[in-house]
Amino acid sequence: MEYQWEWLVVVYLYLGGLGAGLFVFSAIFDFMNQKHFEPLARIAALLAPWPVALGAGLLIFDLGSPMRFWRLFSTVQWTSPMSVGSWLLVAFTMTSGAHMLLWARSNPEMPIGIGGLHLPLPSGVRRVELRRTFTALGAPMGLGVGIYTGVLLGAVPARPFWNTPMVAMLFLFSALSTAAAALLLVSTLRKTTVSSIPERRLLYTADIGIILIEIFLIVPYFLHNALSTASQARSLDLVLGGPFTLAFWIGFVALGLLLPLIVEVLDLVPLIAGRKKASHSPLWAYVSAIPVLAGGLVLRWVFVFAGQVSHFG
Amino acid sequence: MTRYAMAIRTANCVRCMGCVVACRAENDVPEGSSRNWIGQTELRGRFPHVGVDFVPGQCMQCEEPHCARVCPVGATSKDEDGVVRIDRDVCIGCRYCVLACPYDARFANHELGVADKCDFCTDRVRAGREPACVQTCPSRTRVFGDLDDPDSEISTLVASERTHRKKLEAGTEPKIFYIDS
Repeated sequence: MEYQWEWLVVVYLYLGGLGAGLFVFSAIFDFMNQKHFEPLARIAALLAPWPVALGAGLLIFDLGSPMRFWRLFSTVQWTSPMSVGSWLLVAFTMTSGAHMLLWARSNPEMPIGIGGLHLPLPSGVRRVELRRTFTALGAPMGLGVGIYTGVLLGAVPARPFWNTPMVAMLFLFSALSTAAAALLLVSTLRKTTVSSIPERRLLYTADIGIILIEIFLIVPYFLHNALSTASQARSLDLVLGGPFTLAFWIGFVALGLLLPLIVEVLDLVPLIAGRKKASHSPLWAYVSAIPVLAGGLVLRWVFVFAGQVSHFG
Repeated sequence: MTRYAMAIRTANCVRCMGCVVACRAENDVPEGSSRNWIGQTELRGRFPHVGVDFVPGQCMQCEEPHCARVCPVGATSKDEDGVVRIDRDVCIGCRYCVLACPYDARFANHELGVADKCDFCTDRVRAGREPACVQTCPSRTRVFGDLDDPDSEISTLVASERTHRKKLEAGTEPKIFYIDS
């Protein structure tokens, strides 16, 4: 058989989720209203629009007729997750772009995008208030983009491996997890200004929670499919002995979930107990962040490809 | 109203592939793809009483087509005559519909950059002729007609013969009726 959707779609779904997750974290950290989390909120805000914009660009090149991509925006098809998702992507990219500009400030150290740009505002406009308006608008859009990347697959009854609401949930939480990992990675790489102990604690705590949720979504995903129609039960063979078994269980579950979970818990316990100093080696952060980032990609690869092999009846 | 459909008398099919060739000739189908096909069932029985059915397939012209539902630009729609068609000038080639079809009846036409599938030979039918696969079939396996016309051959067949449709559990209400022999 011929795969209709290949690597470009895998990467696009991954980047879409990553950017959406970054924005959601930026919003959460901002609204926590604590000075020492502001650098994290800023970095997340500066990063958020780029993966989504890049992913959407990739998707245009994946079309059979790329020059016609504008047709997506000449109509709204409410029954098509792709149509609703395309509009959502545009709205999110614009909102997160404006949000990024409002977070940016003159800082020659800031290597990310236009992080070194200071956007002048008319007098009388309060920067923080305006910015938080965009934060509040963009956060639900970010959650929407994260969910949409899974709904796109889940809304197709013809592909039983996809056709459960668990996929959207799994993709959303995986997106949040990759975003937390990206922040951990970036803040550790740039530890001159960030990656304080409270930050690492915050990111670890968030990621541990999300990974646990992912594990508790995988279990009902299997139960639901195994106890559903014959087609859905059979579709599980693809990851239970079939060609995607190793990628799913080793690449995603073991390396993308369990390994970082263990590393983060081991690293977090002494942090909570207050036994570690800020000079603590960044190695642990890399060992948890990089597998999470890779695992998220593997998850999408498995779902995009395995789903197309699964069939109805 | 008109509601075009097809009945397939599986017992008549000898898998000569005439319908598949005629379809290619009529619809300029690119190499490597086909708008229709002939599958086969498992062999049953024990020699000398052995049997197998050849089962022609194509777009089922569903009443509730999932392909149309997922199309982000409205390029696929079910027309007033009950036929599901692709507007090639509108399709952007995202292939979502190809994945959404429970019958795998669609394919990506890489020459044109759009989705492709059977449309009951729109041009021929509008000119008062039968679809190419129907006309070419030497064993009278296929019957094409209007379900809303109670006197049509297909309406009579569907009313009087035992028929089944494929994958009804997908909920798409297909309009290809397989006559049980």
